[in-house]
This record gives sequence, structure tokens and C-alpha cells, in this order.
Amino acid sequence: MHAFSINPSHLSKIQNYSNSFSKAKPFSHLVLPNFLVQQDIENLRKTILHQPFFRKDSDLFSFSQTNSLFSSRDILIRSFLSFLTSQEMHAFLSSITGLKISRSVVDVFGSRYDSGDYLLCHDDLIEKRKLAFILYLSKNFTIKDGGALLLREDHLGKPGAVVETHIPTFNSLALFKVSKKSWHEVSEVLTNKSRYAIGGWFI
Amino acid sequence: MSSINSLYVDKNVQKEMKNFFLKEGFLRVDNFLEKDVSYSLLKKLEHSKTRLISEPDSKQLGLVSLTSPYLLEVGSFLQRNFLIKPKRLQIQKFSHRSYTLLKKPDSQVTSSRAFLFFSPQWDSSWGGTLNIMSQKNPLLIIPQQNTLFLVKGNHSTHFFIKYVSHFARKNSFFVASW
Repeated sequence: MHAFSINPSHLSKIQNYSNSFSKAKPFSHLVLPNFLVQQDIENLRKTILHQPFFRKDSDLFSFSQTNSLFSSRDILIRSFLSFLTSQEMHAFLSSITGLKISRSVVDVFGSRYDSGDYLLCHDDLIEKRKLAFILYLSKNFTIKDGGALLLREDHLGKPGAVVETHIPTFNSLALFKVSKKSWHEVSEVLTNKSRYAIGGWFI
Repeated sequence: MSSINSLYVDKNVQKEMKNFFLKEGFLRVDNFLEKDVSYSLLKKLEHSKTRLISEPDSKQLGLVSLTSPYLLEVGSFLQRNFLIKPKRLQIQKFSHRSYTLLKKPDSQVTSSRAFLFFSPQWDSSWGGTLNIMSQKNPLLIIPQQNTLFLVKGNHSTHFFIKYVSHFARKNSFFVASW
């Protein structure tokens, strides 16, 4: 079975990443470009795009999602999940975030946002979630396409103004600390592109 | 002369409406106002000043102030037939990026609610649908011009208006709610 690994270029920058993560506004977060080596992310993208997606709709969101990837029998997906829960990944994330996370991941899903889909502002604070991650799988997204990760400041316990906007760049890994102030959303996709990603939470 | 469609001013029809509402917990009334009245109100709403609310839980949602004898008459009708308080009238404008979230249980209304839609044209695929979640079947109401929708309130009745997507382009609609 092929083993995923972190793009080696990141391993020498852990201290810088740690500083960036802890000082980030409006709450602790970091976006790492080119997270996986090129061939791995290409293979993962192909595999996720071929998974069945199911419609999710509520007052807060409208998008499509796979079943939990932990239920998948696909060899590549299982390899990716082993990588996520590996000692290598655990050490890397712990060093950057300073969070006492376990090697468990609560849930990992593939998501697809088509034109008009969105995820409104929320904080992710449920169950034992400590660290949220999103690995972007779509290519050539620009600010005009929408689908951006918007981070809002906290205003008296409620979401305030948007402070950070992150375009869902292919092979970027977004990380943020989950707290009652981690207000974030996915802006509506405004073009015919589909925004694919893998997301989940470490506990 | 009444601004309400003469069909619904008939006492026997009102009795049927009340019976249906009591039994089913909801009631949809198409062409509720006289046609010319409904379009006159729509025009007034379109030219009324809108105060935008920019908080994330009601982004791009506009509140409209409009005093109209027609709406006062509707309020009286709702109070007389369905015990809905007329003073609670609020008019909201929905366009691209507007939405409301499901209210938390502690802020749920326990009395019945009424929604009167003013919408020149609307497609449900644009969003903006009124979604009512209750212990009975969930209900989804498309904002159509001159449609009145009533729902019986209790602690388990929650509602929200779905996010309006970019497919709506420049279109908008109004909801008068009591």
C-alpha cells in the first residue's frame, strides 16, 4: 500500500508555522500550500471525485458530502486516513499548534460545493473537536469563483467582521483551532466550478 | 370595499379555513388579497426604504417600513380568525445572500404565525423558501405573489428562510409576517 507523506519542504519550517498559527487573527489558524507531494494529491483528488456524494441541506448549509471516509474500502483513501492518524502527522500538527490532540480523527468527509452552494457562519464547536483541517482538491479557484474560507472575528460572543479570506487553493491544507470564537464560513460558489475538499477534526 | 379577496370574506369560507387550520396546523391561501391591491402593495414595497442588517446571522436582510391600511386590515383578519397578534407585523426583503437561521428553542414563538408573500417572480431553486420544521411533516413554502401561509405555533415549531443564491440575480421578494 502506498504511504502518503508530508511534502518535505514543510518539515524545516515548523517553528515558523508554530509562530504563525499562534499569532494568527482572528483566531489560531494556518494555511499550508503544497501540503502533499504532487503525485499523491493528484491521486487523492481523482479518487475523491469518484466517490458518491450526498446532498446536505439545512438553514446553515447547502452542499454535497461523501459518507465518512472511515467507512471507505478504497485502498488509497484508507492509506490517506492512515497518514492522517500517523505518528508523523501527529508530531507535525502538535508541534505547529501546541494543542494536545490525540491521533484520533472524529470524522473525515469529502465535500463538494457546486454553484450556489455555501456554508454559513458557525464555530464548529461540538463534541471533542480541537483542530479542524481542510485539504483542498479543486484546481484553479480564484476569488471570483467564491467557495472561499472566511474567518470572522468574535464580537461579544457572536460573529463579527470578516478578517481573513482564504481561496481554496489546490493542495493547500487549512488548519484552525476550534473554540467558541472560531467563527468561519464557506462563501457561496458563484461560478460553474465545483469546490472539492477533504475535511475533518482532530480531538 | 375589502382589500381581502372577496372569496375569503365569506363567513362560511372563513369557517372552513379555521377548521382546516385547527385540524392540520397550517393553511395556505392563494390570491389572498384582491389582485390590484396585492400589486399595489408590491410596488410600494419595491419603492420603500430598506434598512439592511449586516450581522452574519441575517446578512443582506432588509427590513422595510411600510404603513398601509391594507396590511392593517390583514392584521385584523388574522386576529379575528386565527388569534394572531396584529402588532407583530414585520416586513423583510430577501435578495441574493439574504437568509434567516432556525431560531433557538428558547426563542420560539408559541402562538401561530402568518406570512404574506409579495414576489413578482420567484423560482424555488434560487433559495428563499420558507422552511417550517415541526413534529408533524416539515413544510416548504415557495414565496409566491399574494400567498398567505399560516402555521400553528408551539414549542416544537421552528422556521427559517433559506439562503438566496446568486441564481436569483437581481430578483427579490418581500415577506410580511405577523
